[in-house]
Parts: sequence; C-alpha cells; structure tokens
Amino acid sequence: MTNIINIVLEKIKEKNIKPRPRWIFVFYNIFLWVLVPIFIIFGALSFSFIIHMFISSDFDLRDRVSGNLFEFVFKTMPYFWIIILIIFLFILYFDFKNTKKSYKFNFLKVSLFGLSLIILIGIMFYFSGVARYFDNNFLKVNSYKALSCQNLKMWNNPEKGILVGKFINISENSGSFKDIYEKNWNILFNNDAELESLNLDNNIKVVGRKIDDNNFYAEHIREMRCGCGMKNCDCVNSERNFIDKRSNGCGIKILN
Amino acid sequence: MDFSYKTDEELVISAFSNEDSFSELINRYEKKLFNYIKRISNLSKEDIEDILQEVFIKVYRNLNGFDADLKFSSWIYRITHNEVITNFRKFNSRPKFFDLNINDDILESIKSDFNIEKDLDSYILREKLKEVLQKMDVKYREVLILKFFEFKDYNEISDIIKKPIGTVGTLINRAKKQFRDILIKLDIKI
Repeated sequence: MTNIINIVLEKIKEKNIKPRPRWIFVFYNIFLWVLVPIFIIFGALSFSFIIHMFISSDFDLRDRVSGNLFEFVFKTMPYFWIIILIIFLFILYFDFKNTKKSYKFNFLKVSLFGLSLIILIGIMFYFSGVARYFDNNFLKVNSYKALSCQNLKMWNNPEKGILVGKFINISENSGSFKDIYEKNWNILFNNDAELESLNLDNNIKVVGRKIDDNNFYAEHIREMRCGCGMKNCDCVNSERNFIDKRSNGCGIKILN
Repeated sequence: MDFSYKTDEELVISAFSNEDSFSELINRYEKKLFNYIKRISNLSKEDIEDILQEVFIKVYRNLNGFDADLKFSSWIYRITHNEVITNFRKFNSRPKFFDLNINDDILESIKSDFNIEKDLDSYILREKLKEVLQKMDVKYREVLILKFFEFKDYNEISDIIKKPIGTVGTLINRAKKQFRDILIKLDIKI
C-alpha cells in the first residue's frame, strides 16, 4: 500500500492547508438554527395570506360566477401565496436538514410538527389582522397587485347579477357606476346603509339583478380586496378627489 | 512517541499542534477505510487511495468541526461515505460487482445472525454470500456492510449515514429480509 501518511502530510504542507477556524463551524450552525424560526414565521405569514384570500373570495357568490365549486376554487385559488409558501417550506426543509443534529429526528414527525406550527401561527396572524394589514399595504405595489388580483374580470357578470367597478357618484337611492369594462350603469338601491362602511374608492362588487342594459338593481354592495388597497385609502392615485363625508374623503361625490 | 494509550478524540485535540498525532490518526484508519471504500465502491486501488487522501485532507481541514458528541470513527466514516457518494455522482455510476473479502470473523457474524447451518462449506458459503450481497439494493447492502463488515452498532450507523436510529433499524430489518429472500432463491439452507 502506498504511504498515504507521507502523501497527505506533504499535500497539507504543499498547499498550506490549515484547519478552518472553530468560529466558522459555530457561526454556521447557529445561523442555520436561527433561520428555522424565521422561515416558520414567513411560512405562517404566507399561510395567513392564503386564508385571508380564501375568505375574501366570496364563496356565497360562487354560483353566479362558475358552474361548480371545484371550478370556483380553481379560479380563486391564491396561487401567488401558495407558491411563496411552497418556496418557504423548501428553504425551511433544506435549512433544517443541514443543521448538525437534524438527522436524529424522525422526518415525518418533524415535518408534521413544522407544518402544524405554520398553520397555527398562520391562523393567529389571520385573526389578529396581520394578513389583512400586510396585504393592504402590498396592494399598493402594482406588481404585487398584478400577481395577486388576476381574477377581477371573472366577477363582472351582469347577466348573473354581479358588477365589478367603481362608483362615480351617488345620490339618495341610486348611483352612477363604471364597471371594469368601462361600461356605465345606473345602480338602484333601496337603502344606502351598506355604503356607510365601505371605502367607495375601492373596487366595488354590486350583487343584485340586471334590469336592462343600463340599469341594475343592487341587493348587496361589497368592497373588493383588490381595490386601491387600504380601508382608509389615502387616494394618492385617485382620479377623483372630492370631499366626501361618507368615505373618508376618498372620492365619491354625493349628489343631493 | 507512543500514541497507543491515546484515544482518537485526544489525538484530534493534539493534532492542531502536533503533526505526529495526525499521522497516528491516519495510521489507525487508513486500512479500515481502504477496506470500507473497497467494499462499498469496488474502485481500483489507485482510485481508493485518491479518495482516502481526500478524506484525510478533509478531516484535517475540518478538525475544528469535529463534534465531540460523536465518536471520531463515526465522523471519519461519514466523511468517507460522503466522499464515495460524491465520487459515484462525479462518474455518474454505481458499481454492480464487488470484491468482498469475507474473513472468518465476518463469516461467523453473518452465520450466527442469519442462523445459517454451521456445517456448510466455508468456501462455498463465502462465494454465495458475495453473490447475495451483489444482488441486494445499494441502500440495504450499505447498512449490512456497516453492521457485519465494519462491526458498527445502530448509533454509529445512524451517525455515519445521517439517518435516525429508528430508520437504521428499519433499513437493517429490511436488508436482512432481502438477504434471506435471496439466500433462499440461491438455495442456501438457513
């Protein structure tokens, strides 16, 4: 057998190989462990966004926009955040796998524990309003809006009793409304109580029935998630900027 | 200098300042690791020696990363195991045939564990066992080699292949089952 000892020692001298400092190993291991809770939090945040978007997708109106539940879920699925969640889960998996003692744990048990933690914290984030707060802020970024608001047009279906768009002005029992295809409608409603709680500068979903090509009777009026964003919209990009006592100054002109 | 009274772990500590301590570690493991690599890779003598050099250089470079909770032998076997796998990946192939040297100790250990008839001719049995091991799945053959050829316990195997002890137990049980099934197919009395 070749004299391995001499060859190895010569190579070490020749290439001036030195043992790596201890702090590198310590730091690397701590770094990997610190990343674990960080990615659990990120995963939980993504999960809370998914819950938020599912709940914001108006399941009760599914019959008006699609033939069956499966099709509705397929169309309204928050793909963007599902992909982000999967990416975080992958990073979390590889990060944990590279920690020193991770192989001692049972993979299935650890995965179930991690997933349960993400779901639990995600639910807490949802109920504490964290998901809504971040989502509303993110919606101010156009690229995020484009990625997470792809289903706006599927809702506009006057024949099935839904209009999506914005109010131009509102009078006592009716309002001028422009849908997302730029078509003008006269919306009739019995009482405008529902309007009080809405930010009308946002995209609005009017649920009711079409009377004719220009008139629509509203049974419910709802704010859509993908409007200008915040509940207290600051109207920075709003085309209309009238003083309005009913919508925090965000642009609906009241005609009395 | 006499190192015989020193443990591997003590040698690791003194290897930073004393070249002879590291030489002693190489001396203790070169033959064992040479045989281990040969058993799991069937590479040529030259290739095995190249891998061995790489292993010892990696050990030296990562001396500070040695986890005192592990046995040094588990750590160096793990590095060797990984280096052999890297080598398989580099050449994109795993060996199909192995030159397994089954000495008397290994033969006895296998005989007793699998309740193989004592009066079976040793030469024939050795040849049959080689055949059985060659027919086994790689993941099962690897754990059997660690258990019966390298005499590692479950804890050490777990540290070497980086799998939980429970998984090692399952792998060994399945490996034994596959081993027995192939033995029966080859008509070896057990």
